[in-house]
Amino acid sequence: MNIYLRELKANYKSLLIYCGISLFFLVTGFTKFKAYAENPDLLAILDSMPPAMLATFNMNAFNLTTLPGFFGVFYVFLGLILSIAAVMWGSDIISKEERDKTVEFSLTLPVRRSTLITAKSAAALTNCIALALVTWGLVLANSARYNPDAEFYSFVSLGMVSLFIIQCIFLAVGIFLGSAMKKHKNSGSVAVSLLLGTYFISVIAGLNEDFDFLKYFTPFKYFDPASLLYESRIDLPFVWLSAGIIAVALVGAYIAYSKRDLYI
Amino acid sequence: MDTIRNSFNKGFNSPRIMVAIGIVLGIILGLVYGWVISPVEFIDGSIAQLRDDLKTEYLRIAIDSYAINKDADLAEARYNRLGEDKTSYLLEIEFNPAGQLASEIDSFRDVVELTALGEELEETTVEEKPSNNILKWGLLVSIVLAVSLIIRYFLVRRSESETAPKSAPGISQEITSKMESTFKTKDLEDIIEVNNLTKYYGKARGIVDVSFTVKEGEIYGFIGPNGAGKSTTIRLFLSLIYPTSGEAKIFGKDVIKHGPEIRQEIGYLPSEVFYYEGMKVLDLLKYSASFYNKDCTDRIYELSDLMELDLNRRIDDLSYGNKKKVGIVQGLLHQPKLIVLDEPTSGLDPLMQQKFFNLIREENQRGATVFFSSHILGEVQKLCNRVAIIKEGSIINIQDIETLQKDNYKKVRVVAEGIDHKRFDVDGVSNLSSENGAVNFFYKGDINLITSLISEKEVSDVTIEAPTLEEIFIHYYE
Repeated sequence: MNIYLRELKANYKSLLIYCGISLFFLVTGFTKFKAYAENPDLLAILDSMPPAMLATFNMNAFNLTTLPGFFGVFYVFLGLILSIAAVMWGSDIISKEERDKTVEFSLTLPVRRSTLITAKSAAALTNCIALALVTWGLVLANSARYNPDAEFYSFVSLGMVSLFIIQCIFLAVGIFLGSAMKKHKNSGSVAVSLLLGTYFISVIAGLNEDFDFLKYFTPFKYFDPASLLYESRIDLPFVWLSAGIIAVALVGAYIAYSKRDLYI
Repeated sequence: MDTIRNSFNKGFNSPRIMVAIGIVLGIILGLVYGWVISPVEFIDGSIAQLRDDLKTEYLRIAIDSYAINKDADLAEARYNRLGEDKTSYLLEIEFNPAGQLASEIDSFRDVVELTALGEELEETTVEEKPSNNILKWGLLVSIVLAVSLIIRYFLVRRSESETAPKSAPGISQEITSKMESTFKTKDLEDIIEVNNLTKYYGKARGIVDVSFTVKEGEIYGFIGPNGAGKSTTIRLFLSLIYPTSGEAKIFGKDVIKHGPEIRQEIGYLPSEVFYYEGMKVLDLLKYSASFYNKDCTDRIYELSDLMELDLNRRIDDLSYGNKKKVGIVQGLLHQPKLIVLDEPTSGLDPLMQQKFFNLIREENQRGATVFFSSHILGEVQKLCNRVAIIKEGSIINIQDIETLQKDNYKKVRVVAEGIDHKRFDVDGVSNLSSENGAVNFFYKGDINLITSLISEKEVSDVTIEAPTLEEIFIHYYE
């Protein structure tokens, strides 16, 4: 419990920064939406854009001039922000002890390494939940003035839940990299490049149906905002797949961290 | 249970078993993909297809019946009889006045034709599907293979680095056990027990085949130059790193299996202290104290008073010496049974060093055992009862400090006119040299032999003294 509380205290600044980024992003986004809202001219402009570009930004499934459509396009960007935060927290929270050499303090205390991982993962997860909730609240607060209907609210709820699942995947992967990699200095950069890599895979998977099978390799494609909006459901197989990835990453983290030498 | 665990642990070190696990995992993943994900996708797709087919069928029947009977009601009735699935097309039939129906029917025909065209297209694409699947499966299998190969590569590299060359264990073990047996004080409990402990960092040597025991209540010196393996040994005690082979026991318990339990009673002061920056000293000490099963608050204030430590400053504002003081307080606040010190005095001024030594002596009198690693011989000499000397990863001598100085080597200086230094070249004499009519040498052996040798000649001055630890130390390392 004491490790958990200390980690929360040590990380609250970074949580505030990410909340700030999310706030900035949503406020600027909704300012733009003000111009798009109920503006048919924009649709004509969008129609003239190359379809590949629209697919990249997830715009072909959505009508950007309506609130749900706008959130659908925004979904990907929110996913990027939330998962970058998660993967950074995850990889940093374990490996920073070795980087700052405090491991010679924290692990010479009567603590099991697995206890340390549990407490630290819980702290990082708390941060992720807080960031997701803040983002959720900001989305609702920003869209309130456009009098959204019940459908929009259920879409946002589903969207945020699926984003949270993606966030958890990246958190677990980050924790795994932070605890398993011997070169702890690289774990952050590897984690972020993995994230960007999967993001680009998701872009490629969206471009052409032949690449559709790639969707199993990128969490960004596990939950399609279009089906969230039109069918109001989350694909259950992908929830299981996500749970599997999270479980494997966490078990891997526990095993690797308990077995390996710590470098000081 | 233990055998299962052992074979499990062994498994993680054996690349073959890991590859096998990788392949099994790959197969399981493949099966999961094939049986769980694909069928779901497949069933979803077929249901959608079926629904479309039915819709088309209903429409066709409805349209046909209207064309034959020119009766919208009949068409609707037939449609209703055939299915529950009410589509918008049906609703249009229902509510359109008869006059508009004809044009509607035309558009229905278009729909029907389009659907038929679509079905045809699908039939042609069906033939391509298997190849698509092969592509999918091929990619999946190759990814699984690649991943298992990568895992294998890393494991092989790790196992290579861990099976680094070992020195002949027999000889040094014999020496150390001999040395141990001469100094064994039998009635006291072993606090630290190290057996053939070896650690390689990849191919780099850490320590090789180190064995010694530390008895209860001892202040045990551990000396050696930089890079000899002092910190490696200590980190093995604290299970920050794991041994390549051999074992270490503290309080009679294995350091790896009972790490946290053992560390309840260990106070550790590292050579360089690193703490969470941005924390106040008091918060850090309280945080540290929260891990021990006793109340340490009084001791925190007591120790920091003694070490003149300001508890309200932030860690990152502290100088090196002050951080060291935090380390001392943090290491001693829970009144540990074993105090492990790794070059503890660096950064402390002489006055503080004195206070620190007094503190360690007090703790020792209270009953704590002290393991004191250092390369500064003066402080070891001042504090320790016994000392182990480590060189290039191996223990080369373990002795009482007093014995080390008394029984070991005598520093002899003989001044006489026309003395031939060769007459002292007997067994037990080393470092023989002469300058300006004075002969200097080290002697180890029966002291009467050397005094009689000296008294044979007329000498003007003789000094026989115990060498400083420094000189012994240098002697060992030359």
